[in-house]
Formats: sequence, C-alpha cells, structure tokens
Amino acid sequence: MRRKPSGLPKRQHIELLADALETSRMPSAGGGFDGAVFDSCAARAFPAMRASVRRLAQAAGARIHELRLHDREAQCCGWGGHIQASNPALFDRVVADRVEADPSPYLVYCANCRDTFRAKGKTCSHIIGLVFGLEETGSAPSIREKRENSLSLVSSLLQAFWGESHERPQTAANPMNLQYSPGLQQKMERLLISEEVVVQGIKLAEESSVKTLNRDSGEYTCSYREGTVTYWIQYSQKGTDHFNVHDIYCHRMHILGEAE
Amino acid sequence: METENTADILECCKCHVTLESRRTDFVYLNYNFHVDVPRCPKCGQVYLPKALVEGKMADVEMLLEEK
Ligand SMILES: [Zn+2]
Repeated sequence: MRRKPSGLPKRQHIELLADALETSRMPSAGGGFDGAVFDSCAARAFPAMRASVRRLAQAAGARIHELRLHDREAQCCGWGGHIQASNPALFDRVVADRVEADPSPYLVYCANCRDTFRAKGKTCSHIIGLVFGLEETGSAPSIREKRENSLSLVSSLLQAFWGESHERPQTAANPMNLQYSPGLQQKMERLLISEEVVVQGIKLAEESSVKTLNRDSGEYTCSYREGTVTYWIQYSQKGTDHFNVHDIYCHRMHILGEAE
Repeated sequence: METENTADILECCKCHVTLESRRTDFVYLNYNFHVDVPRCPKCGQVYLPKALVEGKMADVEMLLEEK
C-alpha cells in the first residue's frame, strides 16, 4: 500500500477480483453459504472494497445479510492490538460479543478475522474460499503453520511467475534444534510468540554472551526486544547445537537505562 | 514493586561477575516505576524473574491499559 505510483487509482485486491470475475465467467461456488457479512475493521475506510465483497458473494450465489453494526461501523473481531496476548480475558469477551452478534455463519474477508473466529468455533468462510470453492475446514493455523504457509506461498509464487527457486530460510525447520518444555509451545501460541523470537533471542545471547547464568541450575536467561515487547527466554545448552527451551515470558514495560 | 532476591546465584556471562540487587526503573504509558532486581554491577545487564514479569508487572500493565 505504501509507495504506490501516483496517478494509479488505489484499488484493493478484492475490488480487482470482483471486476475480474465479473468480466469472466463467475464460478458459482458460494451457493451453499447463508450468513452474515462480517466487515473487517480495517475496511471502514474502504467503501469500494466492502461493496466488492458483497457483489462477489452474491455473484457466487451466496445468501448474505448484514449485521447490526457493519460497513463504517464495522467492529474489530478481537485480533486488533494483540489483546489476545496482553489481556486474554478481554479478548475472550470481545470475540464472544462478535460471535454472538448473529447466530448464522460469517462471511469474512480478512485472514485475522477468520482465524480469530475459527479458534472460537464460529463457522465462517473467507470470501476467497467462497468464490473459488476452496474447502475451508479445521481450526485456525498455529503461528508456526502460518509462517510455513507464508514461506511456501513465496516459494510457489517465485517459481510460478518468475521461474526462480527460492531458498527457504532455515528458520522454517528447526535450525537450533530447539527442544521445548512440555506445554511451552502452547503458551507461546497463546501469547502470540513466534519461534523466530526464540531463535533470534538465543542466537544473539550466544553471540554476545549477554545472558545470565543461574549457577545452581545451569540455566541461562536472556532477553530479546522486538517492537514494544521484551521477551525473556530461559534455556540450557545440550551439546554444541542443541538448546532446551525451558520457559519464555514477556512484558511491554520498558526498562530504563539498559544498554540497547 | 519488590521481588525475591536471587542475585547471588546469578552470574553475568559477559563480565563473569555475580549479579547484585539494584534499583531499576521502568516506564510504561508515561508512568514510572522502580523495583530492585538482579543486575550486573559492571555492565548493568538486568535479570527479571518470571514471577515478577508474570505477576506484578503484568498486573500493572493491564491496569494502565484499562485507564
Ligand atoms: Zn555484565
């Protein structure tokens, strides 16, 4: 969206898709859908995009209706601001309110809306899936799966359109042979902590020796700051390239006087 | 905010010295706090225990966010 050449009209991909499908032959894969459109809060400022979604859905044969709050009054699904990590109880309340606004399935056009609702068991379809008849099942992908999906999308796009092979960054696998304590990966998922944070945190600590050692337990603790969040990673080293990750916790408060 | 003192079993891996409990200042949403936490007397590296981060610090963050 940034650095758009001047003179070109600003169009969202959904609008372009709506145009493209209208001028071609529209598949009518959405015939089975009967539910409410859940506008993404980011779409409040994009009336053409909101209209395109409705046009697409109807053209695909879906039966749609409006929520009490929609279009310019669209509500955040709960994902915004990462409330999930900072205030899980508030997140649960927000999502429950959105989910209960209408008992019918939701039609969404934002991946975050979809994942948020899916994780709470709300039936919802993404407009792209609806239009192209892609089967959308199961719950929301984990953070690791999302990253995997992004990486394989990049690989296949580079391959398909530019004929380039793409070296997958080694983070995709398990570069540091990290072993997590039982339950820790679930905690990371809940706090929206990606494995990347653990990898980068430990890597920096090992390179710089900026870490502390608990002499009783042999455990190392390092901190790693990304954006406004500071992560604390507790780990131990097993052999040259194996790390056991014991725990990870984080805060948003800023420590004054720490060397950056 | 206060915390249990575990400084004497903690070592800064950079300076190879034992941490000492020292006053450390925090800021969040324009509010300032201070608490004694284990710190390296040489380089100033801080160690924040989990109990503090997930306990009092999390409470304070949430309180301020709800203001
Ligand atoms: Zn030091």
